[in-house]
Formats: sequence, structure tokens, C-alpha cells
Amino acid sequence: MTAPARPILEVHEVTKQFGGVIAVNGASFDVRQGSVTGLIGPNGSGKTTLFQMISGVDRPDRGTITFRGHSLAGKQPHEINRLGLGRTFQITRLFGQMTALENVMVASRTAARGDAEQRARELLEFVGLTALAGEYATNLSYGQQKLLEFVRVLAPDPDLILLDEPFAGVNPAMEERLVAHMRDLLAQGKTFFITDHEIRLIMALCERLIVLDHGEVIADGTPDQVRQDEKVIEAYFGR
Amino acid sequence: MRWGVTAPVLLALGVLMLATLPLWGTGYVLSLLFLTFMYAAMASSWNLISGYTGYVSFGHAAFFGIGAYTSGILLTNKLAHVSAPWPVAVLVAGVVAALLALVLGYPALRLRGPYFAIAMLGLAEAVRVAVTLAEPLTGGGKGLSLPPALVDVPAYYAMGLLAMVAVALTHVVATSPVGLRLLSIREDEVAAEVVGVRTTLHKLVTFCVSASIAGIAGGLYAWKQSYIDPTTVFAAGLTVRAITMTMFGGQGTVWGPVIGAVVLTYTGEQLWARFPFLHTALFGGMIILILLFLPGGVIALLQERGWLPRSRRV
Repeated sequence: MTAPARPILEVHEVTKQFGGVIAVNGASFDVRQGSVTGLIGPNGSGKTTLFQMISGVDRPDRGTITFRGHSLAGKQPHEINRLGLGRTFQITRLFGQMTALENVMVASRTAARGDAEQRARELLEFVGLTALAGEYATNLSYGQQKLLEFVRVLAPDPDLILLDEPFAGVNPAMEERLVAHMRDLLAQGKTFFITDHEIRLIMALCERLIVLDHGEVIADGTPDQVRQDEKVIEAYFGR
Repeated sequence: MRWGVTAPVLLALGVLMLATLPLWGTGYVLSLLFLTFMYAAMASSWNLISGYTGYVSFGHAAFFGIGAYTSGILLTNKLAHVSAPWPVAVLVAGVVAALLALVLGYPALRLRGPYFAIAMLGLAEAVRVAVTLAEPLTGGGKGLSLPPALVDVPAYYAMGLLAMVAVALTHVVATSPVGLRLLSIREDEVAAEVVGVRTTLHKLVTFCVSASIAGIAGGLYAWKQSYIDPTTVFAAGLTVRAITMTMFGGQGTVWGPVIGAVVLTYTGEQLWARFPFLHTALFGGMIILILLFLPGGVIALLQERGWLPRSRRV
């Protein structure tokens, strides 16, 4: 029996409040290295707020977030990115008036423009967007934009990739491509932390699921364990 | 002929013509080109911070004005018993403008969109008032008279050189990873941070470089004019012209501000000569038309029609 992988990300008692709304309430969990972990929950359960805090866009009111042993407290998003943590957004946030190639190049860590361009071209090829390298991001279809944002995250070669609803608005063919790319990257040792409403895909992809409801972690286990959890059934379907 | 060959040839011919102009051009043409170079430098400087990062500064005249006064004070013997040589005075003007940008930019660049624009407008006005109140040093509202100097030709070359440096610098920025990072800030600052761009550092350094160009332009202006006053060198109209010229040519492009400076300086001069009582209104009307019908500027229009390559080098 192999020992469980060590945690790459640890979230401990994290709370975030916006005015009178408690978006995340004392959430604690970890994400294991080399795994695909899912974060699910009904709309407004705090999934995106957690992603915002992990990536440094928002700061927790209480609690700690640790990535590879480094506390993320007070760190700017670019510092967190440079530690090896990349993320996508629920609604794609590409640089619209920059080409697909430039969108990927800008995220690259290599100092020389030539090296950054070569890496960006390789990544575009990886997801089959080579022909659109010179096209402005705003002109791409939504599915292509999702793929582009996915490879932009890969440009600095992160260890942990947070995907915020990667399958939302994506057609089945594109979905399959995205899943195939994720499996390739998983084989290379990358770690994924995903949130999405496509439960069928999430159940198939993830080894472990964390379920949020009203900002609280109500379940944490394998997809089978979560599927049978009373609290999860109640959160999704009501009593 | 391909653009890769045509463009450098045209550029070399243009530089040669401008370099020999004092030998065959009239004094009026020399003055008009001095103004054109000054506006090209100002517009390129504004373009660096506002065109590339999207932080629209309505207070760029503050850097021109502080540069003019720094140079003016150093060229007179107000601070020391002897006046500084002009190259030293104008370079110090650039440094002082950059330092002012550092002080103003550190808090102001945390604001976004219209908040930054208005903050810069207010800060520029505050700098103008401070300069006016420092009467023993600046001459206050009466202005500052510099030692009279007949420097039309050297000032022409110096301002031309500054405009060239501003364009060359923009070219370097536009074709480097730094340029992409600045553009990413303009497009979506949060996303830029998340993909690893050190947005605060990039904005602040760009703001200081941009201010130093405006400061040197102000310093050269003071040296040539031999007289400066706060109303002229801190005029909001200077900023408005830099903005209009950049928008006319194309924001976030290398040559857009130059095209804008050439076309609008010449057009402004013609309007002033032909319609002395209406030229400001006509110029204003022209700005509205530009915003309505050329939102991306001349360069974007030429690129859309396929007459110019779609490249960051343009």
C-alpha cells in the first residue's frame, strides 16, 4: 500500500464575510499533491470566494492558507503565482485586445521574448490553438477562450492549478479535449483543484470531493462517499 | 516593396531631412517643428503610462511644468551663484519630474479608472499652486525670466532628439515582454496579477519614465522660451493635446502619438492662422469627431484595411 501524497495546499478555519453575508465560514481542508480534487456546492456556497482567497485576490478575515508550506497571508496574487499556483476564472478573463499568443507569453516566466514565444507556441499546439495564435482573444469562441485561459495558466509551469468552472459553457467535444489535457498534465505530476457544476464530469475526474454549503465544508471524501452523504443530498435536493 | 524594407528607408530619409532642416528651413518652420517634437515627446510620454497600462492621466502637464521650473531655476542663479549648463538643467528636470511621479504615483496608481484620472487632475493643480506660492524661487504668478538665449537651432535638435528617444523607448517597451505586461494591466489588472505580473512595480516604473520624458520636454521648453509662468507650463490644455494626439494616432502603439503630434500640431496652427476667433472651438469639434469616428486611431484604421501590418512594432 502506498502512503498518501502529502498536502500541497492546506486551508485551515478560513472565514470570509462581505457585509452581512458570510461567504465562507471556518472552512478547513487540504489538497494532496498529484491529485484531482473537486470543490462542489450549490450556487452561492462560497466556491469562488475560496478560489479568490487561495489565489490572493481576496484576503480571508480569519484562518490560514498554506501552499507547499508557505503561508499565503499578505501575499499578492503575483507572488502566489510565482510560488507555483495558477488559476482560471469562472467567466474567462483573457486580455481581449492581445493575441492568443501574447496572452500565453505574458504569463511565461522566461525573461527572453524568444523563449517565451516558443513556450507559448508549444502550449497553443498542445490544445490545438496554433492556427489562432495571431488572433485577438476577444475574437475567439467561448470554448476556445476557455482552452486559451487553460494554457495561459500552464505557461509559468505551476504545480497546483485551480480551475473555476472549466466546463461551463463548453461543448462536449471541447469538454473531452480539456479532460484529456488534464489527464496528460496529471501524468506529469500536476495537481488540480476544480470547481464545477458538471457533477457527472467532476465525479468521473476527481479522486476526492469537498462539498461546500453556505460557506461551510459539509462533506469531504471520495465521490462515492460524497454521493451517499445525507448532508450533500439535502444541500442539493432539499429535504 | 515590403514594409520591412520600406519603413527603415522612409525613416532614414525623414531623419535626414529633419537633421538638415536648420540649413534650409525658415525660422517659422523651425519653431513649428520644435512644437511638433515637443508634442510628439509629450504624447509618447503620456502613451507610455496611459496608452499601454490604461491609467488615463489628466495631470501630465504637472511633469512638464515641474520640469520647466526645475530647468528654469537651475538656468538662473536662484539656487547657486552660477547657472547650470543647459544639458545638466534639463536632465535634472527629468529626474525631478520622475521623483514627483514616484511621490504622486505611489498612492494615485492604487486608484483605477476615473478615480485615477481625477486624482491626477487634482494633484497637477496642487503642484501648480505650490509652484505659484513658492514665489522667492519661482517668481510666483509673475513667472520666471531666464537668461535670454538665442538657442532656436540647438533647442530644435535637442527636442528632436528627445522625441526620437521617446519613440525608441516606446518601441523597446512595445516589443519586449514588459510591453505585454503593461498591456495586460490595461486589459484586466486582476487577471494580470493572477498570471504573475507585478502590476504595482510595472505601473510605477512606467509612470516615472513617462514623467521624466515630460519633465525633460518642459526643461527644454523653458530653455528655449527664456520665460515661463505657471499658467502656461501647467496648462491642462497641454495634457488634453497629448491625449488627443495619442488617441488620434492610436493608443498603445509606437507611432500613433507621433502621427497625432504631426497632424494635430499642423492642423491647430492652420486653424489658428485662418480662424483666429474660432480656432479653439474648431479644434474641440475636431476632437469630438476623432473620438466618434476614429476610436482606435489612425494606426488601427490602417491595420484594419490591411495597409499596415498588425504588429506591436507599428
